[in-house]
Amino acid sequence: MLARLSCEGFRNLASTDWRPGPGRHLIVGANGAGKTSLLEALYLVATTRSFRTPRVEECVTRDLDAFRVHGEFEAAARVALEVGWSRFEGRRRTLNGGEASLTEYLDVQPVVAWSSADVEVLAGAPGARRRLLDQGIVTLRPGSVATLTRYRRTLRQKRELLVVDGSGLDAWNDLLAEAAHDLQRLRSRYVDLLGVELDRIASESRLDLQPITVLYRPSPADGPSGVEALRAGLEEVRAAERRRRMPLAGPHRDELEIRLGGEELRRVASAGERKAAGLLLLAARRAVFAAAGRDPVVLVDDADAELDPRRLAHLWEVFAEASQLFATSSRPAVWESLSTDASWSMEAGRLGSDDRPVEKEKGTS
Amino acid sequence: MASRDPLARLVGELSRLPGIGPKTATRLAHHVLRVPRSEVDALTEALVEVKELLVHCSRCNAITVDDPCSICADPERDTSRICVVEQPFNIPPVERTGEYRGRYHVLLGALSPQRGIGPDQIAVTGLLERLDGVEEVVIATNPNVEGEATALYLSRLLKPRGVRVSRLAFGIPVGGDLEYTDEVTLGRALSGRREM
Repeated sequence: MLARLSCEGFRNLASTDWRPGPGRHLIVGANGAGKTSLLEALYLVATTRSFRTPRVEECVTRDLDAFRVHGEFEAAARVALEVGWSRFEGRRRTLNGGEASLTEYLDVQPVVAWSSADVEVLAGAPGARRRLLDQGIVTLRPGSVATLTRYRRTLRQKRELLVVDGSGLDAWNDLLAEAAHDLQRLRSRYVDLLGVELDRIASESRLDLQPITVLYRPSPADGPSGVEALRAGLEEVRAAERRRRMPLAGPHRDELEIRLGGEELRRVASAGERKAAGLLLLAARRAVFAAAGRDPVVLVDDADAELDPRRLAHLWEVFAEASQLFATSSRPAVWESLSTDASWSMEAGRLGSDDRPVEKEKGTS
Repeated sequence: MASRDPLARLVGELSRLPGIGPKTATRLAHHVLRVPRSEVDALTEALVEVKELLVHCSRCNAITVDDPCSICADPERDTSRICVVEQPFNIPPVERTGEYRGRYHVLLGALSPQRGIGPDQIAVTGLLERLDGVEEVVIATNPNVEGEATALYLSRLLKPRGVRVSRLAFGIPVGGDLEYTDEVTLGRALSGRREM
């Protein structure tokens, strides 16, 4: 759980020192007030990445040379994480003021987020869905970073080999088969867990939405069954790979199919249905991690956009089980009948406690 | 253009060494300025001597003064085993274990298409020529992607020639912690477990 967040030089946020409690928090403010930046700062300090950009240097306030985001998280003990960037020293991260491996760092506080960019996950190219899977397996167990890195490095080498001349391809395929199998097993298990939670959430919710199902389509199709199957799959495309000079099978071609009422969601869903599906998927991800003892902080940017009041209310109920959630909105009126544990206002990068009672109703924690 | 300032020139030369950045190079250069002339002469001499006296062993590619190297020339060494390493400096760590009495073969690299290193760029032919009377080849390439691919390549090449091919075991470091061991390492430690 986030106990304290402070930042300096970050986007359009004024110097912030924020101490939120548990439960569901609503942050309201006009467009450009800094709501998304606040969520981004929180996401960045927990994961070392931004959900808006792959280049963290873009997060620095215009005309400044450095930013710093400091987060304190409450678990068995209080742990301090910090991420910073400066024009002179580049990026840095610390755990309790000292150096730490990425695995140890990511182990501290899982986070799941929804922002407008995540529509890509539902409606865009397959790469965004593969990233969702990989974020999932790393959040579930940060040690999986090693599996991912090994696969990516091997793939990069094979890609280069195919461009050059393809000599020694067998050895690289042997290695790729091992690395790919490790990764596909993790992805496949994660999708199974997501499916179970999606079913449970749908059965408990009053939301009127056709069932959402997730289907993992590995490449080659029987990849997760074993290294031998993967090796055979790679062998099958060998000639084509040499001809086209690019790797044609393996986890980089995996697909996660998200279906709405049996149809591919990206083809049939309306904007509102996409948003609802995205939030259900977010709730399922939260539940998978929580069940594994990795209870995440949940971030929902522009939570009510695209949703009619009834759908918003039903989706808000789904997140009642989150132990800490931060939602942003530019339309305070639509939230009046919904219960929140704390409400904050954001204006010109400054965060203030809203007029609404701060401890309105305790969420489950 | 070469710098006319001797100190800047020394810093420039030192910072070309692997692992030495400009800061360390500057510190080293100032150290050279401070020490007596005799120490600098000894260092210069050592540097030149390394280039003049050392050669690659014509059998195993190790660095040596005499060719063949002391290990290849030692009649007491077990000639039925060859341990394959990537670089000459990988030999001393294996020697220090005292667990290995066979001979070595240095590949002088590992497969890495990204760095333009394919099977023709590593010393494989020399290894194949040394297989007479060899029962086992122990592959001790590094446990990274390049080292692993090289090991798999060698294993495909050597097995059809009737040689037993083994690979250094992967596992949890002595003094390590299960909780912080990544899945790949732990999985391999499990699959490579030994009966007690």
